[in-house]
Amino acid sequence: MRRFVNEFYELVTLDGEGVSRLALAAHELLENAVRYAGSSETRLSVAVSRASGSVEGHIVTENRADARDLDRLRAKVSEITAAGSSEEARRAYYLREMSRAAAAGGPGGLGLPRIYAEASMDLTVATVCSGDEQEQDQSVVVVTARTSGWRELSRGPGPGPGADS
Amino acid sequence: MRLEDLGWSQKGFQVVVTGSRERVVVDLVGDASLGTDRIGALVSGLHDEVVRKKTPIVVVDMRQLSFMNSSGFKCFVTWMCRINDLPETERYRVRVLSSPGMYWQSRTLQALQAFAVDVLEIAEA
Repeated sequence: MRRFVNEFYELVTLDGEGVSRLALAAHELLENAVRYAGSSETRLSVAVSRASGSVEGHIVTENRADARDLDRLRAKVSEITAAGSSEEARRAYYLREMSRAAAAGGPGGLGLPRIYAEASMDLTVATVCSGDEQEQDQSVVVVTARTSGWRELSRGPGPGPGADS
Repeated sequence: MRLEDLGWSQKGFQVVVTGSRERVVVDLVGDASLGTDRIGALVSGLHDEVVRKKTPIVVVDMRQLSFMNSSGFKCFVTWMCRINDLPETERYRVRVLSSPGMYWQSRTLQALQAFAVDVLEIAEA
């Protein structure tokens, strides 16, 4: 999947470092979605638009989640959004989350902070009507990661796009 | 426990551990997200052995590591915490060999180094 995202974005930009960030975000979002979706379907969408040197990338996952997981997800995304969007804010938040995750033990806890800090992407969460009355105890959750002010770099003399696999 | 026994090989991911009195070397090859469930045990066992043998440095070679997911990264964060929690005289260093061709490594390792500035050093090779 990560290779697919890499190759998809390489079709529209030569900025290998940026492509790598998008692939990282796609991987983490999809892992989260699959973890909470259980046996139900998970969808991943990737999109990119370019205008005068800037690139906007969107990664969207869509899956079912129960109310408790949805509440936790909303709380985490709200916390991340409130932390700010500067690089300093992202770094400071990530360091706090690393301490918190290590103290908490167990698996998980760093996927969304990693997207926010390492990929420097902004996160939103929404729910949509499923139209499936038999699934009333679950919501369809849409999580979006969006690049924030990504200025496209040209291919330099170093490794080109696709260096990550 | 022999250090070598901490390693394993699976489809798409391989861990090789070798050691001497002076240093322990951990080679990570492939996609670590395929072996996340065993990375915690790897770094925990490694830490215990290194402390027991008073080895001054662990070298983690990530030059052929194509990716590590956040669960694997968390294992490294926890490892750094365990080293920091040691009495100063028992602490050891971790040196990571990274590849500039693996773009994710730069961001991930910079974050880890900021978290464990007195423990971790990064060498691009």
